[in-house]
Amino acid sequence: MARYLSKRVLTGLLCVLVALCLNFALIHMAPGDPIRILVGNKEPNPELVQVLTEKYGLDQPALVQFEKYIGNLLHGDLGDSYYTGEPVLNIIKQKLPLTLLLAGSMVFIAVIIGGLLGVFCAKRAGGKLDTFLGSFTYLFDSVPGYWLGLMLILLFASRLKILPTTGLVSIRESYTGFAHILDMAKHLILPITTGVIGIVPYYFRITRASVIQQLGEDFIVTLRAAGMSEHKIFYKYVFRNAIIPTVTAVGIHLAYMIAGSTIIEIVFGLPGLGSYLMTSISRRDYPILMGFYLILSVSVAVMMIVVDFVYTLLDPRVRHVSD
Amino acid sequence: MKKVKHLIHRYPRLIFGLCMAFVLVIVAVLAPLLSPYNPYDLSDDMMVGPSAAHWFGTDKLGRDILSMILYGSRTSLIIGISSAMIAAVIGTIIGAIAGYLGGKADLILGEIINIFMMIPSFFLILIIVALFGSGLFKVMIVIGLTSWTGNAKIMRGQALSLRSRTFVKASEAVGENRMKILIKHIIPNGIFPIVSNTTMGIASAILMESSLAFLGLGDPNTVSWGQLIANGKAYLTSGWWISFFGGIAIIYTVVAFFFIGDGLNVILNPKIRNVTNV
Amino acid sequence: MSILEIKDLSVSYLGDDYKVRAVDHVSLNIEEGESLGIVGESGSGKSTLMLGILRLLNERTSKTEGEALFRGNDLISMNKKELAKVRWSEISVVFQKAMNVFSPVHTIETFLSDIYKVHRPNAKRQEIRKELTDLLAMVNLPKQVLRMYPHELSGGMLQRTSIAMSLMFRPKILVLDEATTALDVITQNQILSEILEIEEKLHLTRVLITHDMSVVANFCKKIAVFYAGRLMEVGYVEDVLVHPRHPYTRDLVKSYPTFSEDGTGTVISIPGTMIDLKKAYTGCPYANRCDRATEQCRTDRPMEDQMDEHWSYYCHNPLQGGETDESR
Repeated sequence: MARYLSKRVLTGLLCVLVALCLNFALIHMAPGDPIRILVGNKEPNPELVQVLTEKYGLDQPALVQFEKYIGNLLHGDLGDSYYTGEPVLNIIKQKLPLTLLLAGSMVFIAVIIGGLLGVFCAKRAGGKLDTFLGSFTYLFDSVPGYWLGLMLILLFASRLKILPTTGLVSIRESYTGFAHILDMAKHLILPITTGVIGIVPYYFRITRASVIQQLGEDFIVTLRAAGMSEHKIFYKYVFRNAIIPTVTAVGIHLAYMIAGSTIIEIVFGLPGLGSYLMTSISRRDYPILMGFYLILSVSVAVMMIVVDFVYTLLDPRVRHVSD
Repeated sequence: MKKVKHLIHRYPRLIFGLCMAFVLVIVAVLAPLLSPYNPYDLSDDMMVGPSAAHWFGTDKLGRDILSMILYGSRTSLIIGISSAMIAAVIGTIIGAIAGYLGGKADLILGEIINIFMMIPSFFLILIIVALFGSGLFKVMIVIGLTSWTGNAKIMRGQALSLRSRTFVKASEAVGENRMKILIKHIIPNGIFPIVSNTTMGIASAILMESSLAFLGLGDPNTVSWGQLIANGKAYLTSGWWISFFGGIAIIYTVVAFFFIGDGLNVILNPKIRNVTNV
Repeated sequence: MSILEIKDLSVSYLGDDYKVRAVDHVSLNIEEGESLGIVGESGSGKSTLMLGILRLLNERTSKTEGEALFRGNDLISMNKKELAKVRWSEISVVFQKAMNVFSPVHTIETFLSDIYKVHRPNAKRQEIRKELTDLLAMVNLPKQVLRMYPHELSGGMLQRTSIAMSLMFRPKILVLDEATTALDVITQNQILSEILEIEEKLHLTRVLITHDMSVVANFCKKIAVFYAGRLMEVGYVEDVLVHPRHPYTRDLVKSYPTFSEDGTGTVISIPGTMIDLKKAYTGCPYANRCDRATEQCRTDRPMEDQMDEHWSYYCHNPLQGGETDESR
């Protein structure tokens, strides 16, 4: 098992490295000079350009820059923003919690709703209700998140006026303590709803498929032949076996949702990683882009490894095969 | 008639999906004939709500929304189909080679597939399009290049199982060229799941394109649904129709392709329907 | 005294646009303490019969009609609560693919304990463990097996565990559904011999479902021959296999090399294929392959004819004794 896991760790590291190289190469191949953007529309002052170029090492060959970048990374230094001069790590530390909160609550709620729906439909697979709900989830899948967000704002904020439109906190009031948290929660209802609707179908399908598969297994027939109640068969055996793919999906999805909530953050004007990313793209703020990308690939790789580890705990067959 | 009814009963999603897609293709092809106005033409009727003259209203520059939506179907279909095709071709080739050759080739290609699968593609697409510009063609290529891994996984599995089948073994025994076997036997026999996955891929690519356009990273010179929705964002309260109909068009299109893909899956895997159960 | 009385039982699988009559009006008596082998080709309905009686088939995609009286109580119409009591404690099954019989993510002990607790809900842990250890000992397995996962056991060990599991409540009837088919011949004979011993001890009634005639000949007293969902002939092994009345039984016997009486080892295969059960038909299902078929065989369903109390067949033109040598 140790060997299996260490192999996965290696794959994870490799993945992060490939992601970094790809990202670095792309950014350096991109047209558009960051200095020009830094200086803005003003007539470029040669002296200023010179200072900035040296400061950020932009005159050195790409490979040297990359080497320096990796070296700094190993010391926990992700570089400084071209635009604000702030260390990238600080910006990430500042922006990540909200994004994690968003991603975490979306995945959590979606797993519960999607899982329950999946179980419900798996039990009557092929029936009218199953086909209907299945089609419905495709509808959910097909709704662009940003559009749904706008429509929810239109309905609940503009027309019904029961929820705040955008932002994380009410600007006019200054709440403290519990009221502050409540205010934030109110602001997060629509964004989270939007995100949940987008990913519920994913969990619905995984759960439905694995429950159906488990219900068709021979050992279910054994338990039935032994007189065990359907209730117990389901909760102890079908569920225990069917949960494996869902747990795997949750782990990986959680990491991807860090990027996946970008659009939602933008639509709802939430100051998370995603909306900052879009700003940084327009500013050609390379260190920020690379930093964000690094965080994203590292979290995906870490979650993969965690998921693999959990998998070995959940499924004894993996433990065996990998020994 | 009875046969049609039977087909609808048996594969409801596939039939509905095909009908919906058919209408869509007709609309895209006949857009200039069907559109009441030129979608690029500005007029004095600005921000007019849905009316007899403008069924879906007009935007802040007086452009007819219905016409923009009809023309937008072209952008969506072109990008959706081309990117999905690119992904299908790359995925099929890499997957088939990995699965059929096995051994070291499989080990290396398999790892490459895994790594590309792990790399978060939305982020990557975002960065590439933002940095390199956002022409129709570029968007198409980028989406295609980042979404082939699913196909590769599927094809690899297919090739692995086909490899040990008698007809492949027989061809090998006869001394047929491996490349030829790959093209003649492995790919044609394993392609069906790729077809259904690619149909789903069209849907995802259309969604992706619309998201990029919404973020302002679409081709600024073509009409696109995502862009339309973004345009309406600022006028949500005073002109809801600007954003609203674009979203409906996207949903309609994406549902159509999801239904077709799902329907093909059901044909491929009839077991999903008939499971032992209480 | 009969322990299981199957009366006019039919099982159909329902598809979207078709209906397969997998078991077609079968009546069969199983006497207490006897061992009955049910043989037939795949698709003959031999497994479906037992699955139907125990109501293990999907209720949405299949339909079971008729009666199956276990000690006078009809299993088919019985309520689920009563049925649950009969299952395993009175009638238990050893299934075909032992690998899939156990939950892959639970230990053998967890799985067996849970089944034990179905019928002995108040059992203490120690009691269960002792009982399970004894059960495993009965099929010559060490108690270490309890701690293992299914994938850690060999096919033979799994099948033994499966048998041990089926004997948990000392059932009256033990159904072996192709239970040893997947094993090699030596392991198969070993396990079957062990079952014979256990059977003596526990006074079991055994129903052995198989496509292998030699297993039935060696390990059963009676034989029931199935074809296309219908019972063709039933009786003592020494009667039915030596002097078959039904042409199908004869052909089936002849297609097994060891039973060819002329000793030259000529093996015949039956020409033609089994009729499509999705389509309705009249008469005898074997009529299209039978050398003795007449017009009547194609139009009228053959009814039961009895040689004696134990031996009956369903044929319009039965073979008379001694006709087995007649070549086709």
